[in-house]
Amino acid sequence: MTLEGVVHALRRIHRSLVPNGILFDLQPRGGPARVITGLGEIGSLDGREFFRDARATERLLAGLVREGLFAFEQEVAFRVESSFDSGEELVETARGFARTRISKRLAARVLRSPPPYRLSEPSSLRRYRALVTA
Amino acid sequence: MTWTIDPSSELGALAALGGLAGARVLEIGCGDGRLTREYAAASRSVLAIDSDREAIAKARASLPAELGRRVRFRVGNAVELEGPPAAFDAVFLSHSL
Repeated sequence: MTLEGVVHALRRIHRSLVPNGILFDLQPRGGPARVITGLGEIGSLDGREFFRDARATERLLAGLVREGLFAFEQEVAFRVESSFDSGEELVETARGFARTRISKRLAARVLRSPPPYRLSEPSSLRRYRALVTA
Repeated sequence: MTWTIDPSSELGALAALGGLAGARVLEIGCGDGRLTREYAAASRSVLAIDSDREAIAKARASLPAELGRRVRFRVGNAVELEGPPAAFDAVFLSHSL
């Protein structure tokens, strides 16, 4: 989605909410997903492109907060844990992620590793209040 | 192949921030509905959208029958949101935008 599209979407979201309605924003935040196998934590996915775009989106939302459309209220941080039946499945899944990569070296390590196979991704949920506008 | 995402941390965070109980919810980026199925029973109604047509088909297929009257899945995205203003008490952006 383009940055213009994000702003347009956020304005549409504000319009769709009742006055003082709630916007929950659940996103990966706080760093890349850790790759964990039977050998322990063996590396991280490369999320630089994703987080670059995420920061741009957050700046746009912050702009709408300054504009008075939304008020930030609270945030809870946590980790999302994913498990896979095999190393091949983890690698294939990671290669399908948008704007996130798994390096060839890390993929090879995963494929050589014994089970279990997991991703642990830092994330957070933010709550915003839709403010009444004139 | 089984890729399992534990929903407990996300649902715990939702609960910690007030949750969606009794709310008319618009979920954007619902994917295959893995979180929708978990919170919908407590909500008043849910419109869950995702741009991935295949994911929406999976979401519809895996929706428990008892939630059928409460939850609607549609192919769509936030940019194309239409409908009357002030139709929802809460919007849940799930890994979207």
